[in-house]
Amino acid sequence: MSGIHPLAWGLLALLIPAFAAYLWQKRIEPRRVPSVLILRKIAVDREPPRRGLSRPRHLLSFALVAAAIVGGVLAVVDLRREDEQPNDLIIVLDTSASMASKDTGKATRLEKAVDQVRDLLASLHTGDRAALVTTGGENAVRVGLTEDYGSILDAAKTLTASGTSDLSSGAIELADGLCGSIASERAGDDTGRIVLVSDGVGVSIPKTRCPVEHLHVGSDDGTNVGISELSVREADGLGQQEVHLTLTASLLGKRRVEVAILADKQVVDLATVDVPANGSAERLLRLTLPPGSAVSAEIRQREPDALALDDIAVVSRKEGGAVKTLLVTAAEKSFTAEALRLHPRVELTEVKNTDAIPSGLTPDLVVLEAAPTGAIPATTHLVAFGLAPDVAGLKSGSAATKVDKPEITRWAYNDPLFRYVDFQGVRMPTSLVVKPGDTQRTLVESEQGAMALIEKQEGRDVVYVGFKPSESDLVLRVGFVNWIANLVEWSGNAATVGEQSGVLSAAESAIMPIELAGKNVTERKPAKTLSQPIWRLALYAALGLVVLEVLLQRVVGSRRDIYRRIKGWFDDRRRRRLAEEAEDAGEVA
Amino acid sequence: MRIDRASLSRCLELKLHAGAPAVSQHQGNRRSPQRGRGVEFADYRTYDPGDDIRLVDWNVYLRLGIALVKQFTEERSLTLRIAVDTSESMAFGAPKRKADQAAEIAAALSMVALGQREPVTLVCAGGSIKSQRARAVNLDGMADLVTLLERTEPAGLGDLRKGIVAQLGVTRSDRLVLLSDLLMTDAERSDLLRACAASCHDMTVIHVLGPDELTPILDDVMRVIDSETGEELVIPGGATKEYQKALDAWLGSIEAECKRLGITYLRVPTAETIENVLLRGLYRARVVEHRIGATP
Repeated sequence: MSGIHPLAWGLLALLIPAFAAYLWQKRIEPRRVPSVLILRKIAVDREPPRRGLSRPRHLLSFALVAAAIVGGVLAVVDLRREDEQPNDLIIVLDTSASMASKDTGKATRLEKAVDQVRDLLASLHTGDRAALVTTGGENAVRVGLTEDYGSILDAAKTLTASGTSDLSSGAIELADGLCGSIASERAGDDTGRIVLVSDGVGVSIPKTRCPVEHLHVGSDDGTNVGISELSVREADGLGQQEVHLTLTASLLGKRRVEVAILADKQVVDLATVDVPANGSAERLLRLTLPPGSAVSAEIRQREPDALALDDIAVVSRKEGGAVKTLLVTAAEKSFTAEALRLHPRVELTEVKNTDAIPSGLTPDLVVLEAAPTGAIPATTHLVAFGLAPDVAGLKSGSAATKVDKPEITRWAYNDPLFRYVDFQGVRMPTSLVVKPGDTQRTLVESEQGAMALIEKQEGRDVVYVGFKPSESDLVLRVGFVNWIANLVEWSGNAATVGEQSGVLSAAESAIMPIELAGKNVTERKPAKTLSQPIWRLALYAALGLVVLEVLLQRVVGSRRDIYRRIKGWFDDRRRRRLAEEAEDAGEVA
Repeated sequence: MRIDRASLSRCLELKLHAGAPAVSQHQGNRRSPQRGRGVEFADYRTYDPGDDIRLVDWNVYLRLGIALVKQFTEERSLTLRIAVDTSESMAFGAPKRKADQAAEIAAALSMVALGQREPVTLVCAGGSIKSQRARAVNLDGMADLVTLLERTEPAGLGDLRKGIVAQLGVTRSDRLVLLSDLLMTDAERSDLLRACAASCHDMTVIHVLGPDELTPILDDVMRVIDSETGEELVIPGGATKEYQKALDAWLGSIEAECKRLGITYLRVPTAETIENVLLRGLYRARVVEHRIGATP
């Protein structure tokens, strides 16, 4: 058995005189009573003897028993220590954006996590090894299994919080792989363990071979409002932009937040968003933005929040060149042509179906409202409205069938082609419907078949629409202009310039720490050094002694009270009976 | 002092027992010795100038030629006075303090009286702070009484008799209830009981006692200190029997003195529930009765 830490001996040595002083104080302190009126008749005129109080004797015996228990526990701890094998530790450190939260303190969660890592490393013994894996944006093994704990700590100190925790399960699997290598090195002994140091936000723990402990950092007393979604797109063909903004909050109550929208650092709008206490609020802003490469949103609030990373978000705008468009139509005045002209990127060539298509034309987008004379020029994107499938150049699928007053049952509203397009209640007299083939995907569907579909051909994408918009009331809706704008964007190969930043996932902005069910450790694993358990045990023993002393008094006191109360009741009854008998005797007399 | 306000509403089922005709100046529904306006005919008397001619019995006048005025029994309210001891010794007791027990009984009795629109005067005296009084004539004033009780804390030592006499004045009331532990010298106690008995027609002493008085733990030798006077004594171990004898003698002398002065005496331990105090103790002592005359 190894020796006990000298500080623990010191603590025990301090406890004994403190306990003795407590007993002495109890003995000499006079007891306060309401009045000595009755007690005066039984009082004595002398000092109480030294052994006057019997109760402390019981307490001393309890103290001895408690000391014996403490000694026993220490011996068990000491014995277990000898049986312990070297342990390996794989630390998975969460460096996602939510770890940048400061809660209500000055240190971020990441800094607190690094402190936890330091404590973990301090609890290791000679021969134990440790590794550091990080997750947040990307997973990486920062330091492999090593006994040089300083290198792990140095690596942990250089980390910054960014990205999301979406890949956290991958990081734990990575750590599990390392753990497996330990098992193979040590002939199958499961001496490795994984400790995930994280606030739990957005983290998921997969099934692993080695045990995973979650060392929880962060507190739920911080508040935060962050931008969890920012996107910009052309709202219509008139140059209007739609800025879609989502704020996610983790607050004590509802709050009104001001968000400044900037285009290339120039404020263009100030939006007010009412965010709930815990949840998200969305705003869709329609703005006419000046030309530029980036749009940013900046939360302006007086109270500082826990996470600064998500207060400013920047999103790049799509910049594309001109889209050469060829429209073949039979109409004198085409709605489609008007919608195309509204789009600033479109360079339109309108050709009557009876005219020949100019030679040498290489359009990016060909829109057919009527069958052209001659061959369709080579293009990468083709849209056909109300034509037979073979005229549109479809390679698969069935022949078209004409349907009167078709009813649209479903459309691919999630597809970028149908952003801000609503087919609900659109009335049309006729439409061609087809059964889609293997290489085709239905876009608009009726009970009789597909009214619109997309087919990917070699070097060309074809959108086939079985009806003519000009024959329906769709052209009277703003959705038609948006649809045409979507088709132009689809074919225009717009490139995104720059990178977006600051837009975190909603899970990261909702900074409320999550304790992962079933795998939490509220504090780190007990250190293997003997000093800390002894300190703790000594403290528990001291507290236990005081509690025992109080409980003992209560229990003994109450038992006596019960006995005396019963006795008093009988005495009282006897007195009353005697008094009544005396009264009766008086009346008779 | 602490009061369980929620339990007070049950007291509305009770009313004060009237041992004698009511003498207060407040109109009520109790018979009184006064003659005057009322509904119950009492007597005739000869007409004096200035009498209300509406009260002249014209039948008698026409038959006999004598002007007689009809007199009726006036109905008055019972007046209840409650005195609560707030000396330091009332701050002891278990499971609740004697002061809290006394305050709850005082509040319950006030509720009983005010429920019948009978005026209540509450006096808190006996502590180091100046004695205080609150008065109510109906349930609207109940809050004042409860507030006085709740704001008053037992502390220090004062002259209980002087405090009560100063606040009650010289007029007599129908009923006086004294709530105290009576931990005072025999002479002080006699003065107090005599002064109180003289100020009312019916007096009740509710003697509130805690385990410190009834069943103190005296197994070990100990040094005790009086909370009010600071007097220190040494108590020998195992003196329980001697204490019980002294306690019996003390209680016996109080009961005898109350009996001699015509005071209703009721002993209430702090462990007793208010319901038991009202429906058993005070009902048997004929201080309260059920509103419709049934056994509560």
